[in-house]
Amino acid sequence: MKKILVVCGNGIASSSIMQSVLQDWLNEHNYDATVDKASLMDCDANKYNSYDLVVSSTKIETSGVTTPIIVGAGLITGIGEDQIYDEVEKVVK
Amino acid sequence: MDIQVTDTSEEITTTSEAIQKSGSILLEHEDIQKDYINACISREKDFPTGLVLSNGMCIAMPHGKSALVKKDAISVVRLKNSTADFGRMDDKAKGIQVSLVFNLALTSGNKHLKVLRKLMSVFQNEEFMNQFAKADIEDAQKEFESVMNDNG
Repeated sequence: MKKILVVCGNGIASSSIMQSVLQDWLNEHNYDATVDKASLMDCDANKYNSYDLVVSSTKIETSGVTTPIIVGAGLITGIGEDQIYDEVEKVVK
Repeated sequence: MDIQVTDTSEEITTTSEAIQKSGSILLEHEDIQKDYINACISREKDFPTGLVLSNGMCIAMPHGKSALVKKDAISVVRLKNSTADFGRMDDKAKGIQVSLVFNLALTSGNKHLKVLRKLMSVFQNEEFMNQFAKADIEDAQKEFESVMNDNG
């Protein structure tokens, strides 16, 4: 099963929204994947690399990250969400 | 859920002034501990919460740790005579001029996800947002309260 990590500033609001929206989308499309959330401050390259995909509210500049990273603020505003889901689909299917 | 919509005619131009304003309302209503205001301001520096919505409107949703929150609340401030400079959530190097501040105060727990999902659907509802930005303050308060407290 694929593992997705959703991250934002302090793991309170933005990541909760993104996690819940993403989980709904995965369920709707019958993809089996887990979505965890975390605060950017608690994450290092090793943590990111233990996931198949990282969806972040903002750009991540941590070096040594090999896992694909998507900026997912569009899941909150609805702007560009189709592109975000396309990227997610590439990883989970 | 305590919902407060306020207009200000003050010349508010910075993130910090904007959050002082929205936070003072949360404090008056005993929704938060005093330190919550500074927690929101300092968080904004590292992880800004400014968003450009699909209708082009610029908003921000400052928030901080649940530990400093006494009860779930949202303080919305409509800036009438100025815009406040906030960083963009998706790229903090970019600034936006915000005219609506949604200062969230959320206790931990499952309830807050419901609140956030509702807030998100409000942000994505162009018609509602256009209306909300220009409605009379009483109507804005009533409409926002009704959509956030709607259990459907």
